[in-house]
This record gives sequence, C-alpha cells and structure tokens, in this order.
Amino acid sequence: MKQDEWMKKMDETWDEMDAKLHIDVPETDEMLQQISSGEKRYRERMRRELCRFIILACVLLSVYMLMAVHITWAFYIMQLISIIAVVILLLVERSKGRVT
Amino acid sequence: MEESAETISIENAKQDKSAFSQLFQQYYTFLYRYLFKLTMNKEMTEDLLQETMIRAYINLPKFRYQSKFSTWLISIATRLYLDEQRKSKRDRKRQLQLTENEKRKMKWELEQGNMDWSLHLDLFASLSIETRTLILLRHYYGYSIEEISAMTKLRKGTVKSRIHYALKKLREEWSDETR
Repeated sequence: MKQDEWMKKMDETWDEMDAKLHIDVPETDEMLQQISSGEKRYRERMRRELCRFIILACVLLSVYMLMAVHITWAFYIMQLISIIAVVILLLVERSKGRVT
Repeated sequence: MEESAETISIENAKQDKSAFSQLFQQYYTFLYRYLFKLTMNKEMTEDLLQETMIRAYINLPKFRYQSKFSTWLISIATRLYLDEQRKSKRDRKRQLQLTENEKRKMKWELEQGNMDWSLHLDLFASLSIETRTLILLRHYYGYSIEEISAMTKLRKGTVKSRIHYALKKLREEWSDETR
C-alpha cells in the first residue's frame, strides 16, 4: 500500500513537471543547421581518434620490430603485450558500443 | 497503420536530412521531458538533446526496427547522459559533494520555471545518477528490465537489484519524513 502511494505521488510530481515545463521545439531550418555542424564535429572527432590510433599502432609496431630483431626473449614478451593491448582495445570499443 | 506511417517517415529520414528533422521534431518534447527529469537543468537538457539528435542522425541507417523508434532515441539519450556523468565524476568523494551542489542547482532551476520542489523530488535527487535513471525508466516510462539493461549496458540482475534497493530506501525515507 505504502509502495503504491509513494509511486503515485512521484508520478504526480513528474506529471506536474511535464505540464509546467515550457518547451520550444526548434524550427526545421534550425535543426538542419545543428545537424550539419554537429555531424561535422562528430566526423572530425572520429578522424582525430583514428589518426591517434594509427600513430600509436605505428610507434608500437616499430618498437616491437626493433626489440624482436635485437633481443630474442623480447619477441615473446612483446607478443604477450600485443595480445593484452588488443583485448583492452576491444573492451574499450565494446564499451563505446562500436563492437558487440 | 500508424506503425507503417512511422516506418515510412523513418525510411525517408534515412535518405533525407530535412525528413529526419521533421521526424525528430515529433519526438523532441518527449525527449526533452525525459532528459529534464534526469538533469533538472534546462541548459544541460538542451545540450544533451542536440547531441542525441546528431547521434541519432548519424546512426539512423543502423536502425533495424528491433525496438520502437522512441525507445531507440531514449537509449541514445540515456547513454549520452550516463557517459557524460561518468566522465566528469570519476572521483567518488567529489561525486558525493557534487550531488549536494547539483540538488541546489536543481532546486534553483525548478524555481525559475515556476515548479515546486517536493519531498519526492528531494528524495529522488539524493539518489545516484545511475539509479535515478533506472527508476525513471522502469517506473515512470514503464520499460522492461531487459530494455533498461540494453539501454544502460548494465546486467539485468544489476538493474533489478539497484531499483529494488533504491526504492526500498526511498520508501523508508519517505515514511520517516511523513511520520
């Protein structure tokens, strides 16, 4: 009983909030402008992220090759590190919803 | 009949930006109300709404009618809000302090909009951001535990237990206050 009463009161509060809230829906032109600029920003951010990733991959690959050529045991260590890095990357991408 | 009309609008929106704007306008009020209940801040609501619109536009070609369009939009908005909050509140101690500041800000914002700050809102605002989101989605919008789990990327058991304990706490505090 108490449970229903609490929920009812909370729902009433939210309904009242909805009713009192003044919302200005933007015009189509304004929305189009927002989409265009936002899309540009988003693509730019994605491009920057990709560039950063490629640079990091190149640096890691160079270090990997250098060590693998000069130190025998380093080859195995670097392989392990690479596997861990790939797993971490996949987990990050999964948390961002890009990989399921 | 109504569903097929919506499907046509969505398919048109996938091809045309202006059709998307018109489609989004239909859901603007619904999303605004939802985000305002979470943030209780007009500025933050508008920023999140704009970002939701952009994400929805970019990801619309991937929309495969596995859920209602409104559910899909609310998922985007929820994830954006939670990600934003997680990013800015990594520190637990700081989070607790911010909750108090947030509450004050929320009160002020509501007063500006001629809305009352009730005991319910006070108790609701004292919950963590994630729990607030879960309760709102489950009990006001009526989404299932599975849907909320997909929206927030939390396990079903986690969603269930967080809602259960938060509601228990709210009811207890409410009965203490009203006594």
